[in-house]
Amino acid sequence: MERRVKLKTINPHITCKICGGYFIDATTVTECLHTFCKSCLVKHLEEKKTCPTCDNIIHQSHPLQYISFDRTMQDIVYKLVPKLQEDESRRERDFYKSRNMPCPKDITQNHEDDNEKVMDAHAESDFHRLDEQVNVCLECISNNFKNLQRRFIRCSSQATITHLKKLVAKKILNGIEKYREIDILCNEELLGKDHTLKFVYVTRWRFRDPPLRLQFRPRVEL
Amino acid sequence: MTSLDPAPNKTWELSLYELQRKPQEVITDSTEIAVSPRSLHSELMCPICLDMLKKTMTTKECLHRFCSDCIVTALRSGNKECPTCRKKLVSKRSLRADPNFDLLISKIYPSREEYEAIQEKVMAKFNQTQSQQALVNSINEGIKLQSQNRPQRFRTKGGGGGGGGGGNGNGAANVAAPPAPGAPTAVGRNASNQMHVHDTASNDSNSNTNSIDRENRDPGHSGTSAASAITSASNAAPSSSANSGASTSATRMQVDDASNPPSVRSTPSPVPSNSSSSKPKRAMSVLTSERSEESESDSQMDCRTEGDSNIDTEGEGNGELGINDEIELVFKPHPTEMSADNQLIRALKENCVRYIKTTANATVDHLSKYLAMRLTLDLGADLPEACRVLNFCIYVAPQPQQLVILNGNQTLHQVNDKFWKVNKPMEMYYSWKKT
Repeated sequence: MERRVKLKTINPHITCKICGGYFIDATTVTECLHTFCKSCLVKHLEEKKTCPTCDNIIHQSHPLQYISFDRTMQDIVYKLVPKLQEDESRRERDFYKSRNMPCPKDITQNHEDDNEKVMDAHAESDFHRLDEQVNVCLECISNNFKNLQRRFIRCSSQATITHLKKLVAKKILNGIEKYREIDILCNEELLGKDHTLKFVYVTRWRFRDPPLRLQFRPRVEL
Repeated sequence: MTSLDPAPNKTWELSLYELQRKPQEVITDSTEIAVSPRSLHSELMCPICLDMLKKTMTTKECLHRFCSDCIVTALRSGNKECPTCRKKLVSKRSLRADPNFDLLISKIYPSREEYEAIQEKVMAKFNQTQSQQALVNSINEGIKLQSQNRPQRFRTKGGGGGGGGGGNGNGAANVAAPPAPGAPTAVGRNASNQMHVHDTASNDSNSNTNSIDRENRDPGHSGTSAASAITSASNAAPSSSANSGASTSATRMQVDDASNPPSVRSTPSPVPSNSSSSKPKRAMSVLTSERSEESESDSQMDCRTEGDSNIDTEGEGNGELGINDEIELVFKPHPTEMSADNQLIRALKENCVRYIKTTANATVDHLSKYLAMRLTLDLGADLPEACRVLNFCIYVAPQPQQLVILNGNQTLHQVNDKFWKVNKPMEMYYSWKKT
């Protein structure tokens, strides 16, 4: 199933002609598709305007605009040559460590982490203020429960029936964990716990005037 | 293969390491590497025909590689873009032959016929294994679903919130008996169907388990999350100050706009006439709502509430007013002047923190009068005689532990610009002064 190949036979296709080593950050001239290391090619183009292999002129004034990262070739090199990627990473870290400088790749990583923190903080502060709002009137239809002191609610249309049950449980049963003992109905029809108020409004109160009138009662065991 | 090619005008700056980098030594001894077809498949594969590249052609813009015949056929059929990343690819002039890549492939796989033979052998073995596994999975899934069906039916009869329809998800889904095993294709199809049913059942049980865990782990947290989604006209004041911070926007109360004289507006409102006409309706709705709270049995008042409100107009007006004119407040008692032994605080108990959403044109005097009226209504007979006539001083907290007393004729817009500036509900404090 696997095929054994000598690296000696493959080396001419995965080595840089400028430095003689394997490709590191393989970069290809887009016109003639010759590949070199990024650092070797950029240094070469600072002095000359031609491809090191075929001597064709890349561009008269801006040759750097006609080269591109060749990620496919770099992946092939890393997979063919054993331990090349680890060795290169270790060399880079040792270089920056010996000079007491942070590694640029680590800096990039930390910057991304900071962005994530900012986004998290921003996400927490929304509280559904900008959502579409729906007006609800909650009424009691049982003698076992007392009425809510304030029956009118304005909340996000993404709130679900479970949220309303928890609110009623907190107000009437003195404990939000008892929300399972409450049923909420609309037009004398029992509502599912995961229905959003938008869904309830659109399916059961579309042609009536607001507020959406919901009734609650103790849960009935069937 | 994920391509993140840089923009054409990107600067090719070299880092310090790259400026002095030493080349990696080439391995020149007789070292051999084991090349598995699977490991290099994603690099040496044509994305169009999913086979090994033949006569490689590379796009100039994004350096993606395809077979010559495949990419020419794709361009001829009218797709003027790279099949991998959809960058513009007008014609064959944007392609370049890549002989170096072809030579590399020929060094790794000298014999293409041998490679294809290996591929066919792998596929045949895979098909055989897949067929047997599909049969075993089908039998196991059938047994599982049968055993799960009996307890669910019993539970449905015994309890649960069934009946009445309305999209209740409490009923158990009916599971058909597994069919007899037949041809491999038929077995595969049935297995996938049963897998779908099983996933649905497991999702239900998973959601139930998650709900129970959430309740047991942290009841306070679930309270906060529930409160954060609901805006209510009632007072919701948690007993501890930490919780009150968490539920700052849990409940809101509409302040009556009718009490705001037109002359107080310092800037003409940019709201168009349609929205301005909706404001009196909403004010009337709030008035009617508050009145109906006092006499809940008055059905005529409820009809007026329904008739006066219009959710579409209110939605539009609210959307525009919310951006320009509305402001949220959190009212707390003054930490020193209204301490725990104060008469009013004892009477208010847990209702001493109030959440208000009102127009930014309201003044501090309006807030003071509103607080006096509201507390009189809430407490009613419980209010001590000495506190019947209430007057309040209003403070704002630009920094923690720093309270600034506010002038009576300042509007909330000016207070927000001068002291708060943060996109959060404005924290205000009230203290009581006897007339």
